[in-house]
Amino acid sequence: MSEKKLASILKPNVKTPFHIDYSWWKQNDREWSVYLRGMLGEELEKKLLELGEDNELDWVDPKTGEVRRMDTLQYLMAQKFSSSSAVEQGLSMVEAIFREFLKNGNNPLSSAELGEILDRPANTILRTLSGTRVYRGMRPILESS
Amino acid sequence: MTEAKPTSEDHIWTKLNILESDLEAISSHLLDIESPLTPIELAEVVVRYRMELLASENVEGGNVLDYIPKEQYEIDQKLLFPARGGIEGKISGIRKADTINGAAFQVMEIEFEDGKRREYAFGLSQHALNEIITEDKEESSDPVVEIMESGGDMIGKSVETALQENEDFVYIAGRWFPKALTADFSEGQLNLAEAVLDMAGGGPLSTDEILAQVGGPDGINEKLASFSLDLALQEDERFDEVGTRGVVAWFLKKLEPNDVQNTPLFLRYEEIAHDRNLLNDEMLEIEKRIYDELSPIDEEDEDQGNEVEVRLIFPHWRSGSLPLTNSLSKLFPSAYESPRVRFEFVDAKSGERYPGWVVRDERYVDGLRKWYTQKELMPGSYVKARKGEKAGEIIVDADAHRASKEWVRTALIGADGGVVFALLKQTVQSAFDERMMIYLPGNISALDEAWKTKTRKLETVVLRAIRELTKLSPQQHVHASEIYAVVNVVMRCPPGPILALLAQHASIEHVGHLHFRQKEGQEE
Repeated sequence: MSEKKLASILKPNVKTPFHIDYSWWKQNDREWSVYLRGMLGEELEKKLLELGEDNELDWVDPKTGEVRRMDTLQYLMAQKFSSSSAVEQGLSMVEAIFREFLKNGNNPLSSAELGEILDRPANTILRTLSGTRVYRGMRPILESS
Repeated sequence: MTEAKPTSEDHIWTKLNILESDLEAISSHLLDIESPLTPIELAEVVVRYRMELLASENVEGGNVLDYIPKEQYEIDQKLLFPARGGIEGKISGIRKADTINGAAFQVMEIEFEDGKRREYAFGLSQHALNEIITEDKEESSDPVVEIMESGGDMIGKSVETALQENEDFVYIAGRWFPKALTADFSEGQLNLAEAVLDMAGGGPLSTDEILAQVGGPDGINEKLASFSLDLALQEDERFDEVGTRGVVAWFLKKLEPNDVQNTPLFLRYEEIAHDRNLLNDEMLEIEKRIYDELSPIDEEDEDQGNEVEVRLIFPHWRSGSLPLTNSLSKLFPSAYESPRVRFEFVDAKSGERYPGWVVRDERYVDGLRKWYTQKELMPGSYVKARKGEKAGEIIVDADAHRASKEWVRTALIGADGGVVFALLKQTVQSAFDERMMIYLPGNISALDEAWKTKTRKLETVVLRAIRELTKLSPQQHVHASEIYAVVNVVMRCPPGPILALLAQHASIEHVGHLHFRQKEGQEE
């Protein structure tokens, strides 16, 4: 049974966790690093060049204190969004969810949890993330996946 | 109280074994605060001391700590991770952190109970968990308070027992303090205290009132000066502590009423041996309802609520006292330890006040002689007592009605103090119990004299009482409570021995419902 078929059988609900699925970027020939670098801004772009893109750094989970090894780009993205408000005005829902995952080190979050953080309806988030179109690699974590 | 250092077994709070080290902790705390404390307050001192000991054992003994990112840890330290549901892990490795601004924290590898390994930051000054865990600790109720709420009384008792066995501590009015730290009062100061109380009619005066006149030692705080004076007064036989619970008040012993210093003649009881197994349910029930202070009544059986009604018997009527039964003792002021407590009776109608004394050991309350006379009460009259609005006040009421002429049992006293009874019409001033009413007209000094000089035998007195009362009864039998009231006109005796005698005496016949008569042909 293919992954797509299984995903269609196991329908996500508001408690189903989502994350950024890096494999989706590879499968869809999307260059993850290029996309993220476009979001960095001039100052952090310089920092990235200084540190080197292949370097790994210790990122600390702001909720648990757990340390995760991250490449410099991901680390800088998490840094960039760590101080920004989750409920930022003017952001699309997809952008706001994507930034939240970058900020929290891509820790899985359910639609219900995202709804709480972003102050948006959980069902709307669920419909957006579990539809046929995958936005920026954000997909549910199903048991078989 | 043996070992100096507590073991883990000693920390079972409800069964706390007070050790020498606990007493040292108490002593050093009292030295710091220079104020005596109650057993409950001292129990808290002990609990805090033990908690500190436990905490230091945790650090030394490698016990499990909560993971807090800002703390410093070493390899092999066991940690609990609240953000992971409180799971326990052990530090298996430590390394420097790779960060963009140099290592501002360190990374430790944790091996969890389930075998998984993860890395956590420590020595990290800025992290949300630092705040949350600290706040949790602040917000969660103090463990000492929790322990005190659940077992404070038990711990307080253990502390008190340990202090009682230790000569280094002294106890006054519910508070303890190391004897060596109390201030001395000279003989001259105590003589002055005596003079101060003398001038106040004996008292009562508070310690602070006396201290203001006597003057305290220099350089010690007021509480300690007050406690030290209490100790000096307590150890001097001239003074008597007569305050209610929580209030220390002093009285000059020589000026206390004679009936407070010595049990009144009419209330003195020579124990009469009797078999309580002879008392049937009906007898036990009436024994309870008579409310005699000498009866062995279970406390819970005797609760009459906020107002207690007493039927006077001759000994209390003549002594101007009330029986300190369990019900009454709940109304009257109590004290931590003083055997005599001074308070005030207040007349329910006039508001007039009468000094009263609770004599705890002898179980009577003194101070109503004048009031009984004013109200023209008699043995058998009802007296109601309830708590006053202010602490230390008892309202008394005699349920007086307009004077009426009624046929009542009248005791006629012979010149030798002998008593015979007749039914005569008398003017009665208050409500009374018909069975226990005994009208005593005129001078009864001959009866008083007989109480002083004659030794009575219960059997003789009971048989004579039945004979006397039977004469006045058309049915030719008498009720147990009538016999009890009449017996007590000539000797002090609680219902128990009388009822036991009625139950077993060969010449007394029970005719039902606690009515008795002397068997025919067996009269004297």
